[in-house]
Amino acid sequence: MSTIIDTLVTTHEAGVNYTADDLNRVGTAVAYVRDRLVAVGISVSVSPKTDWQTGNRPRDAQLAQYAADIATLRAALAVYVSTPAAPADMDSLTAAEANDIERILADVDGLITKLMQAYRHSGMMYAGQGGLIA
Amino acid sequence: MKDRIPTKILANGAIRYGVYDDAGALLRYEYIKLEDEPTEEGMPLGKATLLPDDVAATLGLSGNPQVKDAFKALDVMLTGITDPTTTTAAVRVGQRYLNTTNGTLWCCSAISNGVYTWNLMAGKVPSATAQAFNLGTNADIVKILNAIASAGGWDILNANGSTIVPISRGGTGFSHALVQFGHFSSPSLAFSFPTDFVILTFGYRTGTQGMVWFCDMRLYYPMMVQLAGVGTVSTTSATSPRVEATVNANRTALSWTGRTYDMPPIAGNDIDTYYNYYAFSLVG
Repeated sequence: MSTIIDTLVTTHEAGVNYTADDLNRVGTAVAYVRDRLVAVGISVSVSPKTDWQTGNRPRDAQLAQYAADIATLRAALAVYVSTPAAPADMDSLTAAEANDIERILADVDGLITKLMQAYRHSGMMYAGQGGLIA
Repeated sequence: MKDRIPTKILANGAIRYGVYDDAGALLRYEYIKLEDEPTEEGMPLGKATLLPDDVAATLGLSGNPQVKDAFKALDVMLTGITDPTTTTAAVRVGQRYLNTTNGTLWCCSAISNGVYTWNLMAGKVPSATAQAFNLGTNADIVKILNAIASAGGWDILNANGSTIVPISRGGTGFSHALVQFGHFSSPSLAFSFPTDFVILTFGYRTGTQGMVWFCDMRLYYPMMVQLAGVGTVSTTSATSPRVEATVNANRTALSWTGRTYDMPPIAGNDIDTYYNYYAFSLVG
């Protein structure tokens, strides 16, 4: 698994601040997942920001983009039934929603891997070939 | 196009299959993976190699297109010896039409109740001959448009894009068709247009110098033609989406930023004495 995905945190707890580190970690993962989607032919438009610094005060539009990016990536693939819904916004973000954000990224990344593993390759099949039913 | 996304697949790529008896009863699952030690794995057959989103979008395909749809999209270039009209039937939105007489390329942008909307994509741009227009130093919009008309130029739409107003000698009947954005002497301004608009920009320099640009916003980079015949002609970059104009020592620029044109007069530049900005649509 990617080290970027490995760093995702799905154990946020209530009462703990959501920091620049969290924003940057998610932003980096968003860019990574986006690139993997593009590699499998799926175009998505996201605008991750990965250079937040402690003390920065995100603007409303930036937070809206942050949440929208997660929703965009979640919508790019048919995800698991268990994949959480993307938070509608970042207002009053709960620990559960923070965990959901990173769970979504991990799920989408994992599905991309499975999708690529399932590829048949040129020369493996004939047109109209029977046999194993997929 | 969509790829299959399995959930029952091992980390090594083995995919779960079901083994059934003759009665159709499931006996067990097996995880199967090719172990033929290929010298060449072969190209993956999937969305990424067959019909990725960006290719589909380029072909004007949306939804969940298949490879056959892409071939079909490539196949449908209509041709004719005149420009397409609202009765020129397109198979689909996005279909192209080539006028083999004048080389203009059109795209069908809408189909509604048997009415086909065609937008000019390329081919009809201000030509170098436009520089033959000699309007003197006090050119005004009437003179310029008349010159265009006398050269077999364009008709125009009115401000709401619905009424075709032909340009004709005499100048009556078209000034109202223009969208005038006002007179500016501010150091900078910006405004936006639909991509199928043409902006006609005037810069007067205290009655002694003038310049006019035609910028066809339907083209990725605008073509600029100096009509007024004064000043030094400008440069047009084919590689950079920007148009620059130089009039004597005074310089200003039309910068292409998506659908917005910015025209910031340089501080101290006296060509910003008087600006009129007009926009209209080309038809025919």
